[in-house]
Amino acid sequence: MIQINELSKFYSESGVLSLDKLTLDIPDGSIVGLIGTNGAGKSTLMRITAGIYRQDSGTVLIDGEPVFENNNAKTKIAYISDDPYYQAGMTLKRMAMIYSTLKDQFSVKKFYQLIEKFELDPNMRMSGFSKGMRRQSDIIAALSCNAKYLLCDETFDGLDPITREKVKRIFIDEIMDNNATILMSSHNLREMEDICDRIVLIHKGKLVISADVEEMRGQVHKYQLLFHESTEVPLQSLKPYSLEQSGRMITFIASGDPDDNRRLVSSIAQATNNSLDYFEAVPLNLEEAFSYKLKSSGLIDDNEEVNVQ
Amino acid sequence: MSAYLRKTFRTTYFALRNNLTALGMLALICGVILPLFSASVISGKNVGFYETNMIMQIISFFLAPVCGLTIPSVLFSYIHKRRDSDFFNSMPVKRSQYFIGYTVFAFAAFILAYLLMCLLEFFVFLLNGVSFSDAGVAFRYFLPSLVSFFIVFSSTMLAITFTGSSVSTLVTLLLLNLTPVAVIYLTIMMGTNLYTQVYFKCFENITLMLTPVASSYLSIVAEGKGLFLLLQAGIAVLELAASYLMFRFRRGETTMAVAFPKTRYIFQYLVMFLCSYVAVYFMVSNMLYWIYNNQYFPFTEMIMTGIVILASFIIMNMILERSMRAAFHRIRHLFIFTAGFTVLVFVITQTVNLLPRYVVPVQTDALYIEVNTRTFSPVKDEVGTTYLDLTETHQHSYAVTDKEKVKGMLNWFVSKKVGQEGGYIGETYIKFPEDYDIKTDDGYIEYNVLITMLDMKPSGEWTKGMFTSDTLYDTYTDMTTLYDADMVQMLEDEYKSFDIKDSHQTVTY
Repeated sequence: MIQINELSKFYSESGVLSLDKLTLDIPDGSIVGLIGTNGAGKSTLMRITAGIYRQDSGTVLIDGEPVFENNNAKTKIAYISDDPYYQAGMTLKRMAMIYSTLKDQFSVKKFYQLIEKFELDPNMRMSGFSKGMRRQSDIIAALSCNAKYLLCDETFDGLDPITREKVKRIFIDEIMDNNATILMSSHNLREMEDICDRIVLIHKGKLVISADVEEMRGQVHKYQLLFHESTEVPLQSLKPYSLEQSGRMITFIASGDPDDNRRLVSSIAQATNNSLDYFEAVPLNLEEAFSYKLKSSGLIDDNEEVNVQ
Repeated sequence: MSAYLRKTFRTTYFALRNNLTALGMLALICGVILPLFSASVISGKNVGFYETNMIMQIISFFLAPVCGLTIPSVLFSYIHKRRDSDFFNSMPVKRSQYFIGYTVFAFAAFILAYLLMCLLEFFVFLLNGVSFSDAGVAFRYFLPSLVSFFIVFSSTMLAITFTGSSVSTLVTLLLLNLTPVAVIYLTIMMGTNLYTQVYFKCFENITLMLTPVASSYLSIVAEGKGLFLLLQAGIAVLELAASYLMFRFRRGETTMAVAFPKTRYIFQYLVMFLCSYVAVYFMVSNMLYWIYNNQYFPFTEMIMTGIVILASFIIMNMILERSMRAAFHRIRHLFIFTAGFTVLVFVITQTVNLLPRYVVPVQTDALYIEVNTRTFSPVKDEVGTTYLDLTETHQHSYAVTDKEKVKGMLNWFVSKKVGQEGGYIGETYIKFPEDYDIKTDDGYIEYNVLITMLDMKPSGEWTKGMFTSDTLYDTYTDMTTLYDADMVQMLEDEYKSFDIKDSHQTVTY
């Protein structure tokens, strides 16, 4: 289990507080998606969790052990950077040499099996690889480490749709076979909702939402109501994320159970000598739900775009 | 073997496997290029110890510092690149294991390459008819070269681990090499040049020892002088220990110019200090020269000083802030800095001015007195101008036998006074009669100035005297120490009136 507790990181050079007392637990065997706007602190969180950066305060524990400068904890981690590592003139063969020298559990056999699966040439220079091929190489190397925890920073970036699906399947196999735990960051929420059990939204270094994907999906609805009279109906008690009234028609977005909300709206209408003629609740997709949640939490303006498309 | 050591040696092994190309290049230089170079130099010549020694010294001068600079740069430059740093730091290897493992590899690579070169040079010497004992000189510079390599390696490591980018590393290396010269040597030079011309040999040695590049060359020149090498190695050990600590505790981010954010302003101002100090040194020298001699106004130097300070400030800001705009935002700091710096220079120069009072050897320490006299003859150039040309130099050394008489003589025209500890004061302190006219074949050249550098109090204590300059008309201005042969004769006659032993040497041009 990865336990992140009150984690803070300040970049004094740029004066940016990248992580602000962030607390998060990642249970074993889960796939957790980390989303957030640019500069939210996702990559910093990944790097601290991988033991690359030293945090200013707080703790990161891998199976109860601090990760920074701890070889035992780091052995359990494979980190896939958002900028894949390669040297001038390096081939996949040499990459296997580098990994096998530095990582004890690295499986050369698995490495070559995955190379075949991704149809890459082990003797070709990586400088001649496309961005997507370099990304695949990094994924192959990380998976060959047989690590318990996989940290994937923007891993799907640059991959074509077919390869994305392939990677997703391999990740799921990895969880099934090795009970691996995957923490992956992305801007693309749609991509994450297919594979992740849980989505964690961070904004300006703070944890905003940490929710189960299935729960989240059915949580926020767009409501369309038609009242008998065109009087003003006070629906603020529903804590709507947005509310528009046009004559007898009211459209609003709110979280909660649709049946409970229907009962509440009906009672409000009765109290204002009105009656509800039509009620419709349409569930929002995950992206819309996150977007409205973020707006309602006051972390971004109504007009601001949420870059988690 | 403990897991820690096993991992450390595995890192050494990794460095070997990961740097095969660089190792190949080193082997090519040491195993092919250098022996071929030696062979081409000595081929067909009758060579002995002198030549083989010279070849090995030149090779060591080149090889040790270059390896000391390039090997750590190749091995440790990953800490300045985000992609590489992320990769290596995510591996289950501690920073200390990287440091020790790579350092072991660096030394092993240099030692093996150097010994390979020595062995091949030995055979090259033998094949070219050098005797076995003279060919053995091929191994003579191994230890000095190792110390030389160690010195440059440590200072490079210090620069790499302190900084967050290659440009900053370069700047730091320049700082390490130039700061001792600027702070110690120039300060002393400023005092000696401007005031008493007292020269401190010990300061020269301290400066050289603290300057990595100079020190690395000195270690080879030392040729196995144990204590000297030990001292230099001691400084290198301290630098390497500091590098180790910085490597372990540096922040992992690679976006910074300096690995320790709190030191970035120290770094910035140190660079500016260095640039400004050198610039101001020259400016102040010229200013004072102008003030004392009423010769010329150092306008160019003042402008240059301003440009150097401004340029160093902007460049440093660009390195640290990575933007020209940011550099100009902080321009007010420049004015504060420059004002503070001017005060600092004033204090330093005044302090240095006082220093020589305490180090001038007392008169009784004088072992001998030297007088250098030069004879000039009138020469006409292409356009018909007559000037005096140097034709003969006389070097006179007078051993001191009568201290009391010397005391009087020194007060009059000391040329060079050599102290027992080897230091010396001044070079030409000859007091001429004012408005003395030098007669030449073409007429008279007005010679109306005297030079007096040292005065003695009645108690016998040395004090700093007035510095005045001589002026010659109708001759080039740099010929300010011209003496007429007649006058030299007069001076020599006066010398001979004292009870001193004379050793006389003449050099003819």
